[in-house]
Amino acid sequence: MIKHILKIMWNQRRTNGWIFAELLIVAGVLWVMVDTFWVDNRTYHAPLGFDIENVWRFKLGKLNAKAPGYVVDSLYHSSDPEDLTQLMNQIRQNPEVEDVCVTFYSCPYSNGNSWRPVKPVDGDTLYAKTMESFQMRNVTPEYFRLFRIQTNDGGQVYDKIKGRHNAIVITPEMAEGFYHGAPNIVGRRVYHSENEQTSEIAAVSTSIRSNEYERPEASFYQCLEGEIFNSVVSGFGAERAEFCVRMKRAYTQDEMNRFLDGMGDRLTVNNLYVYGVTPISYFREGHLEYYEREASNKMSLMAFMLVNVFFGIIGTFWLRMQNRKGEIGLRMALGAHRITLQRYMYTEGLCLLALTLPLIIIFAFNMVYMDRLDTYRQPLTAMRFLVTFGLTYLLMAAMICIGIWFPVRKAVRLAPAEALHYE
Amino acid sequence: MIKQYLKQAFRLLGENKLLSVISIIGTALAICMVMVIVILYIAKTAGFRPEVNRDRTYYLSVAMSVGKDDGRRLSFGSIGLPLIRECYYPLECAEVTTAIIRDRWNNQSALSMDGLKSSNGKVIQTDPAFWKLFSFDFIEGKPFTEADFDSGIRTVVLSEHVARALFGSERAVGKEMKLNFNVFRVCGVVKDVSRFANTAWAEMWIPYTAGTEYNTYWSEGINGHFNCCVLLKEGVTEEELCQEVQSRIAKFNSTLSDCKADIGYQPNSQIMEWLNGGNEGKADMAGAFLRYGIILFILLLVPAFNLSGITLSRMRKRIAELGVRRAFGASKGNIIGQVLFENLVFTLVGGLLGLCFSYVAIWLLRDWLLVTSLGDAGLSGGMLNGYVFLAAFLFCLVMNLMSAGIPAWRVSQVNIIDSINN
Repeated sequence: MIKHILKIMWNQRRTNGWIFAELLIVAGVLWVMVDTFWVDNRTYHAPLGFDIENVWRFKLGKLNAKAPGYVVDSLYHSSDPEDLTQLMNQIRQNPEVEDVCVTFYSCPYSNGNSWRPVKPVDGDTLYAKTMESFQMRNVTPEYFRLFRIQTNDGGQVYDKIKGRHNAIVITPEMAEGFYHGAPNIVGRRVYHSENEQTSEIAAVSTSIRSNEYERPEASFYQCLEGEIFNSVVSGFGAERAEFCVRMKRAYTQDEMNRFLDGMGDRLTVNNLYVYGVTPISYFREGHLEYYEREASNKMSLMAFMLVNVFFGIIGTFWLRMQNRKGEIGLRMALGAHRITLQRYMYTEGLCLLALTLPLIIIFAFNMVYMDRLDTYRQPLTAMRFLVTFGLTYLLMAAMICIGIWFPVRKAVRLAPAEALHYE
Repeated sequence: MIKQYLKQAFRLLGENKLLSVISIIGTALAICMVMVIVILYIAKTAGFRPEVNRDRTYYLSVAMSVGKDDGRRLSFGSIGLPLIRECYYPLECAEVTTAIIRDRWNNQSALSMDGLKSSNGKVIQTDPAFWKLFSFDFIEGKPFTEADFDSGIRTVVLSEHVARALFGSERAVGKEMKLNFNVFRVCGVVKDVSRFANTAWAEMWIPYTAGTEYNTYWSEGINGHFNCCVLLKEGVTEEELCQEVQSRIAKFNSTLSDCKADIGYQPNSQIMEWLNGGNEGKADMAGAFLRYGIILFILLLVPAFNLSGITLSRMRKRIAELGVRRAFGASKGNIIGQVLFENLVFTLVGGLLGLCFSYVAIWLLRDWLLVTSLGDAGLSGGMLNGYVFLAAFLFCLVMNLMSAGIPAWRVSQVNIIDSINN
């Protein structure tokens, strides 16, 4: 039957040529898009490394010299780090608050990124020669507890880090780059800031991604404790801290405003005060907006392509049915069953689609060869090709079947005598 | 003759309804998709109130500070006031230079004096030049004055909806309100601004001297909280502006001790700012337009295949008729012209429908189509102008040529005897 259909298709190559060209282009474009969806989707659903549920970011400010309640210099006997610590303590004491931490340009979904050159003291690797910069996150130890960050062997990072001065936590990507899977990474030391200082690695965390659409990168946490806390807070200014608070249950913005209202003067320490609150999820939305819009754009382009396939198939087959009414009549008169007839039509459409496959595979190989696919976030695997090709052809086959169904239904309803009329 | 073609085209339209519907809807969909892209492009680049001067506006939104000796990068982001004062305010190529602080992420709390009514919104802190660069529609009052600005007097311009939320009407000039718990006096009320006005959009505008952040800067004044916009003087070219900016930056750098400023490829024109604003590298304009070109081409090509198939089979049915025309002296060009013209009628009907679809689509899908970095925006008058129609017509012509060109050529090539024989 297939051979017969191929013969028919060849005879109709003039009209088939157009629809074949269309199928070819649509299959190519569709496959590229399905592939980007595969990458986005797989990346999105991989573990993120942290958890922002019920976490809010407080906005801090410094009182203006003219503002009521301003503590003038002559009466001010404190410092930025002390004020900030005091504020953290005051807020943590509230029974509805689960945890409080402070970061500088390092909060999840903040746009902040600080980089610092680091290299291992004892690693005999590529990194030991030159100093490469890595993203550094400045966080107080409670950060790990608040954002539920774990070590790569399943423990709590917070337990490893609490109370320790001058310690850093690195991600497994950095550990791999530095030590190539050597054991006992914890306790080794790294140089940072131009070989002047060394810090001890206190723990290796799980992979941390900066958002759902990125892959994990090598980065490290500098723990703000003791002297480092004081110098960092004084350097940046306490009001620039990203003050994160995890509540014990989910709050709405209104409830949160009321909660802050109820805190009264516990939100102020000397000239440092809290004047606003935003859920981290709000920053997350802002961060992911771009990717989501891209996805919608791709979706609409795909829908457009598929609708066109539908139109093209319906148009081509409709014309063909009209031109071949005689042939159909003859077949029916000679005893072809309606179902056989229908099957012929469907097989013809799907054959047309199947013929695009070899060309699309060549196209795919070219894309791989020219490195036009996103291989950075997701590796090229047989699975990836199978799923993306499968989905592409499934979508197109569905569209073709719907397109054929319409004219075929009309054709097979024809009475054989009437159809023969055209012969 | 054209009348004849028209008549014939409409006859054909009625002859095979299904095929006509398919070709018209196919065209309409393609034109709709293309026009959505065009309309969004216009909204992002063409001038409209209050950003009426977009064609002459140049953006200096970021600066990088690097170590003077080792070239180590220290900071990359918004600009500090000292750099602006030294380099950007005195620019001779600029008619107007304005500096803006905007917190894109946080709403500021605005309260009525009794604290009962509130309206949280985005605030722009700026200078009096802002009101010259952008032309707002003032419902009442005026922008804050040079004098207010110089003495850091707390005055605020509200947008219509904030005024209504706080005072119950747009008549709010002279009244007082609290912004971030400080008392401000309202000096003007403006009509709400389209969010496509990426630079000028806010809900409240105050002099930056009345805020607290303007004097915060780091890296010896290179980085801070500001973004800058300049309006090019009439008759001055972009290159002259770039040169002046670079020479002023070089001069400023020579006064610094430890770091130097690097502003990369800025100032950016409107299109470059839209494509690449805030990024370090050079805007890949050619690449971006190529990408758009490919998308538009595919959008037109795929339906063109459909239509070509349909047109060809329609024409093949009429080959006898065309043969007779040839026999009576019509040239090949005449035949091609006839086919193209008849087809153009279909395409234009589809195109008009498509343009209507595109506005409906934009309105229905505004949630994700019109989301700017500032939030969602509505349709605005700027989206319906002559250019849109011109573009739609041009794309129809292209579409027509793509979908009927080959069929027209093919039928014109058929031998006269063969075609009459048909």
